[in-house]
Formats: sequence, structure tokens, C-alpha cells
Amino acid sequence: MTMLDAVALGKRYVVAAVAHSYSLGAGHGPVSPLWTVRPWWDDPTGPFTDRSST
Amino acid sequence: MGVTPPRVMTIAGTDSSGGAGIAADLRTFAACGVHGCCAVTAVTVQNSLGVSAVHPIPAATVAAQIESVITDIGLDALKTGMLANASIIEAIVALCHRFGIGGDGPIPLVVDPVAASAGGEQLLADAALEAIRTRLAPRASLITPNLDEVRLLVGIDVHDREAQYEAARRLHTSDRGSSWSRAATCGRTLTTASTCCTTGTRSANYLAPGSTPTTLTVLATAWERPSRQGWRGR
Repeated sequence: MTMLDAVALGKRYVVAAVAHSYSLGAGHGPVSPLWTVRPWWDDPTGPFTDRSST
Repeated sequence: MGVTPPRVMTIAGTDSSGGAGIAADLRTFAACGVHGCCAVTAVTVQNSLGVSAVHPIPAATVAAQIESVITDIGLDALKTGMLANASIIEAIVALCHRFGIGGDGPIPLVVDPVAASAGGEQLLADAALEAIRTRLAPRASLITPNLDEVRLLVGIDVHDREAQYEAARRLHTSDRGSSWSRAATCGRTLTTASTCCTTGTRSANYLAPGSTPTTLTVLATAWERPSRQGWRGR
């Protein structure tokens, strides 16, 4: 991955993080760097699925 | 035992509200599936309304945190955020020289020159700003200033695309060594940083828009080597 690719990827990531920002406190809330992450128990490939299938 | 993921360190301050600084960087590391390490430069007292106090960590302690990680865990990339004062910056620069971080070394260094608040106020003392400008930034593989930091670094107020590219050219052509020239992409770098800072200001904590793209970029630059070694991510 080139530096340019990395920067372009970084921009895409942060735009989505801003889009997923949330309210917190009385002032400016944060962006959401974890917008890509869903709760592990919602992951169909996660350990719960594996455990129940064995 | 699994393959070791990319190892990335952030050197930055804490944010008691959890929205920026070390907390935001480690979240991004987690989202990208890399192992995040951290060295704390300052403890801040802040909430969504603003910063009410900053307590810098002694430079020797900051350096010890970094050295402790490098000599055991190792690093694939390093990112700096708020560095608090000149003595901390000098300590980091010394470690960068010693361990081949930034410059011509094998470990990329991404410098987010946290020097200005969202309101344009200078957050660093002049000595610290000068240390970033003359000591740390020349080693950087990539620099991600926001618009106010561009003004502090090169004296250009960026109001349009032409000024943006002029600022990038000034960074690129300034007599500060080859590392600045590695920011040859900085026409785009500045675009990215400024875009993030303008779109994010209303809803985002002022540090996070700057630190997040930097963090992802440092992750991306850290990605190449471990992936060649067989790490496939999550």
C-alpha cells in the first residue's frame, strides 16, 4: 500500500467516523472510530456460533 | 499461537472524556485489527465543553514508555499526537534516531502536529512548536496538520485550494531534509486533513478529526510488512 493509498483510505475512514459521531455531554461529542465494529455476539462467525455448532 | 498483528504505538495525551487522544487512537487501532501500544505524554482534564487542565508527564517517563515497548514488543509504525512540551519532543526525537523511526529508518513516523485548537488557539508553547517544526517534523514520513497548524508551521492561511497547494509546496520545498519531501503527497495530505477538520468540527471533539485519519494512515503504513510475513488480519 502506497502512502497515497493510505491517506485516501484514512480519509474514507474518518468521513465515516464523522458520519457516525454521536452526542455526548453538553458540548461537542466525539467521532466514532469504532464505526466498523459490531458487538461480537452479533457476529455470525464469532465464537458463540462456533461453540453452538460443535 | 496466532500470527502477531502489526504493532503500532501512539504517543499522545489522555482525554478524560474518552473522545480524543490516546483513547481515540486505541479505538482506531482496534477497529483496524492491529495491536496498539501507547505512551502517555500528558494527562488532560477535559469534557465535551473543553480542556480545563493539562499535566505533562516527565520527558524521561515518556521516553521510558517508548523504549520499554520497542525493546520487547517492537513496532511497525509510530504516531505522535499531543506532545505537551519541548523536552518531551526532544526525548522522542532522540529515540527516533536511536531506533530508526522516521527519517531513513525502517519504521514509519506519522506526526500529527497537535498545536492548535479548533478555535485556532495555539496549544503549544513557542519552544515546543519550534521543536516540532525543526526537530520532529523533518523525520516524519507523513505530517497531518489541520489548517491552523499549517498556519503555525509555514505561515500560510489556507482559505482555498491554491493556498492549500502552496502550503504543501512550502512544506515540501522547505530546507528541512528528505523527510519533508516524503510528504510529497502532502498536497493530498493537506486536503485530507483539512477536509476532516472542516467536516468534523460541528459534531466532533476537536482532537479526534485530526488524530483519526493520522491513526489510520499510520496503520496503513504499518500494514505492508506484517502482511508480507503472513498476517492476514481479522
